[in-house]
Amino acid sequence: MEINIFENSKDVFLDTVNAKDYVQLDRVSTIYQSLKDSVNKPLKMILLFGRPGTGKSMFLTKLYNDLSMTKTVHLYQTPILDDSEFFKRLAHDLLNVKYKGELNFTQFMKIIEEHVVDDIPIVLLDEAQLYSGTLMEKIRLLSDTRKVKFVITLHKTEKEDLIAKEHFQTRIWETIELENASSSELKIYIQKKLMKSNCFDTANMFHKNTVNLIHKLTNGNYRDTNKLLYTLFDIYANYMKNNPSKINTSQISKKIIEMSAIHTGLLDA
Amino acid sequence: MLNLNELESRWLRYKIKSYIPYFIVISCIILIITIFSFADFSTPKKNEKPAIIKEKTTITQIKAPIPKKEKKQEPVVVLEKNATIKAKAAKIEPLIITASKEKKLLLEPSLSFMNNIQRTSPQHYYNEVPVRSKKLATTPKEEKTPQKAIKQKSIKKTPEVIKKEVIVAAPETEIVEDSTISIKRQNTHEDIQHVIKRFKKSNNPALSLFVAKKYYELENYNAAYNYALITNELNNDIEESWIIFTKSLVKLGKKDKAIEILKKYINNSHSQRASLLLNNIKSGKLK
Repeated sequence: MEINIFENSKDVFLDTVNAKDYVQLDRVSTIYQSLKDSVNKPLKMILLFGRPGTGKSMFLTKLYNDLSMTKTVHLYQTPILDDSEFFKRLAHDLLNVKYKGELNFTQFMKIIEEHVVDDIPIVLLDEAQLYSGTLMEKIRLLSDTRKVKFVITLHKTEKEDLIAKEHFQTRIWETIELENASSSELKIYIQKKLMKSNCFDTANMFHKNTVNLIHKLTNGNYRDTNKLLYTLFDIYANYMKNNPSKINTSQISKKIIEMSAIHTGLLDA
Repeated sequence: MLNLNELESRWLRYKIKSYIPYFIVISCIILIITIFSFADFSTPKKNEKPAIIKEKTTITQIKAPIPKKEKKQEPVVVLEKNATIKAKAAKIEPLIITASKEKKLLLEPSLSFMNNIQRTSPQHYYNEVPVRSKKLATTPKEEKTPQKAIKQKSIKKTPEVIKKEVIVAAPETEIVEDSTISIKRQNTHEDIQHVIKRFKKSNNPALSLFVAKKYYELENYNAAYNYALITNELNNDIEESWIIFTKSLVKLGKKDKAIEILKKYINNSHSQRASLLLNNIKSGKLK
């Protein structure tokens, strides 16, 4: 019975981007609301940026899920690096036209300008830092036509900051920054995530000190936290199977947290 | 699949690694503390030696307070006489003679003492006290002439004999005056303060007892009582401390309390000195 609890808890922290797994936190929900408001504004482009693992992809997925009911929204989770393929895909999604052969930017611009739309479609581009500079410039020009609106996510690194400055900051576009969770937010995140999957026993095992240690190790990064907790519950499940006397089920052991951190590479042993 | 044994050993290594800096810091602190404590122990030892010497000197001073007082009075007179002799040399000779005639008997023993010294070991005397020898160096001319005078006209020319007595006795009394008065009066308080400082550092009952004794001698009975009490608290087997303690009590007017304490102490220790003191207090010899 106990093993199932740890096995189930382990699966909760699998690193997948699923809107169902979205955890509502005060600060995050405020940011999400402002993003939703920005989408409704007559803005050409919205930039969502933050360090890796701060939940950008989850945000975009959640936005896609929420808006798809009322608006025309297209989510591109994987970047399409070839220009022609990108425009062909856009033509297919926005105009419902399949193109064979090459479709360059000029041709696509002509088509899109002639196209009449009542509801401006929204294109969500994840991992936009992978797009080339010229393609980003073309995307900007596309958004200038006001026939399509883009919400793009960027990793916040020094290099990507430069791209953000060059392509976006000179224009009046909305920029939203996502940050790592604080210790209290992380506790809510972990417990909400576990309780969503009915893992109440394991959710109760997380005390303030335990979460503080996890926060210290992961720096509040959601991806690292997921990774760490996945390993942690994996270790617990293993102990439960082979050596149940070694574990205390009332509280998450500091030793097992550190062992998980060593295994995931968060601690250098 | 996780290898828990390997992971546990990695965790153990990590723990050891993480404790190494704390271990280094703690061991450094311990090392520093031990070094400082050794340094602390070594420095007082160096200081103790001169302190003991000081105690000795003070004790010697205590032993002979009465004769010094007697001598103090004499030298003043003699010095005055000496000064007057030097100043008025030949002119006021008759006056000096009359003065010396009156105290002729008092000066005689010191004269013989000096004569003995001069006969037995004059060189040693001069070597030991160079300051005194300088003072004496001014007098030999005067000394030689009176000595010759003694040999030639021992009974007939009494004024010359008196002159000699006065001149020879003067340096001796000067010596006594310089050494005893200056040391005794200036050093006792300093010594006590020094010993108190040392006592505060070391909490040695021998030191507090010394302070108690010194205060008793200086007639500061309150302080003597306090320090004897401290000594008793530190070590209740020191007979001397109980004696000073009860004597101070008597001096402070608490005779009954002193008797009561002494009785209890005698019951425990069977001290003869304490029972003697008890008798003295009871008989009123010690007030």
